[in-house]
Amino acid sequence: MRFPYQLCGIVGAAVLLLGAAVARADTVSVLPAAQYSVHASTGFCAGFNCSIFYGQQLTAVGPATSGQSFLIFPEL
Amino acid sequence: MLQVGCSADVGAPNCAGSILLAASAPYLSVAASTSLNHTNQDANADVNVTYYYEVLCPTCSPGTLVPMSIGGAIEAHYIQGTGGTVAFQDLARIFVNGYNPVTSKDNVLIYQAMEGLGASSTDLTQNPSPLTGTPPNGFGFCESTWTGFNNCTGGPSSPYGLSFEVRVNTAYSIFLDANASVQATNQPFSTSYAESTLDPVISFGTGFDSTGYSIAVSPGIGNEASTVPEPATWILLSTATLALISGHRLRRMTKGSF
Repeated sequence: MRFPYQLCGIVGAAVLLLGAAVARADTVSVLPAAQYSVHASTGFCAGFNCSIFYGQQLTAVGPATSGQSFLIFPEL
Repeated sequence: MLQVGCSADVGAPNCAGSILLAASAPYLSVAASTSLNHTNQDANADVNVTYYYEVLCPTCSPGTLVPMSIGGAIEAHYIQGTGGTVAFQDLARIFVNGYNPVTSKDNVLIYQAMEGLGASSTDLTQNPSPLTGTPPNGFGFCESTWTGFNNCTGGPSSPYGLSFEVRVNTAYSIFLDANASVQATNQPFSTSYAESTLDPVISFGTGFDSTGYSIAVSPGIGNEASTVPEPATWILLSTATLALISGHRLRRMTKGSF
């Protein structure tokens, strides 16, 4: 007579564990990564040369890394 | 942090910079300036980020709506030098996706705010959205929502933020963009400058009991007000750092030549 009670307990525990796992999966989601983009450029005339240009484009997908810094260098 | 800085170390006279600080706050800042002794010059900077947020609620039934709000400061400024002709473009923008109870559509644009030259308000209840607001001369601030609310008042530094709704356990996107541009012609004896910044914070609606709820954002992104220095400050710091590096290199080269 004790076996059915044990079986019921095991089945009940399994149902509870499965239910808990499903409920948790609903709320623990991984949000999409952020997409970043920064850009800076300058241009000017020196004498008759009006095509001097400096520019830098930086894009990243996912979390930004700290201290990532770039300077503008002339585009050749 | 992503940053593109000035170019004073390689001889470019102008200065343009973009900075994006993701944590502890999504903070955008751009600045552009011209310099002396050049008759034709321009500087341009832009920074943008798309990230995602979600209201987590383990015990809520699917589709539960939660009142939210987004707010913060949005700024755009420019300084025009004397003489010549100067053209500015200076704009900070924020676009928020959420739930639209009017159309019952989820994950659609429900709020936008912008500050700067040419800022214009859009009625989000119509598709395509018409322009319904015109900025004042110079700088304008505009914001609008799914309710048809449109506001185009405020100066170069305006607080923004209104309430909206989202469903629990659903990912929504936010797009932030700031740009600054200055083009000067025949202005060799003066300088012009433009900057814009954006610093949003998401929170639960006023009076809402948020027990059991939490706000998640994309990995690496924060959700707090920033304490980053103004663009003019970090441009000055960048220039000073470059000057120190250049001086150090010059001393090493001079020392090595003997």
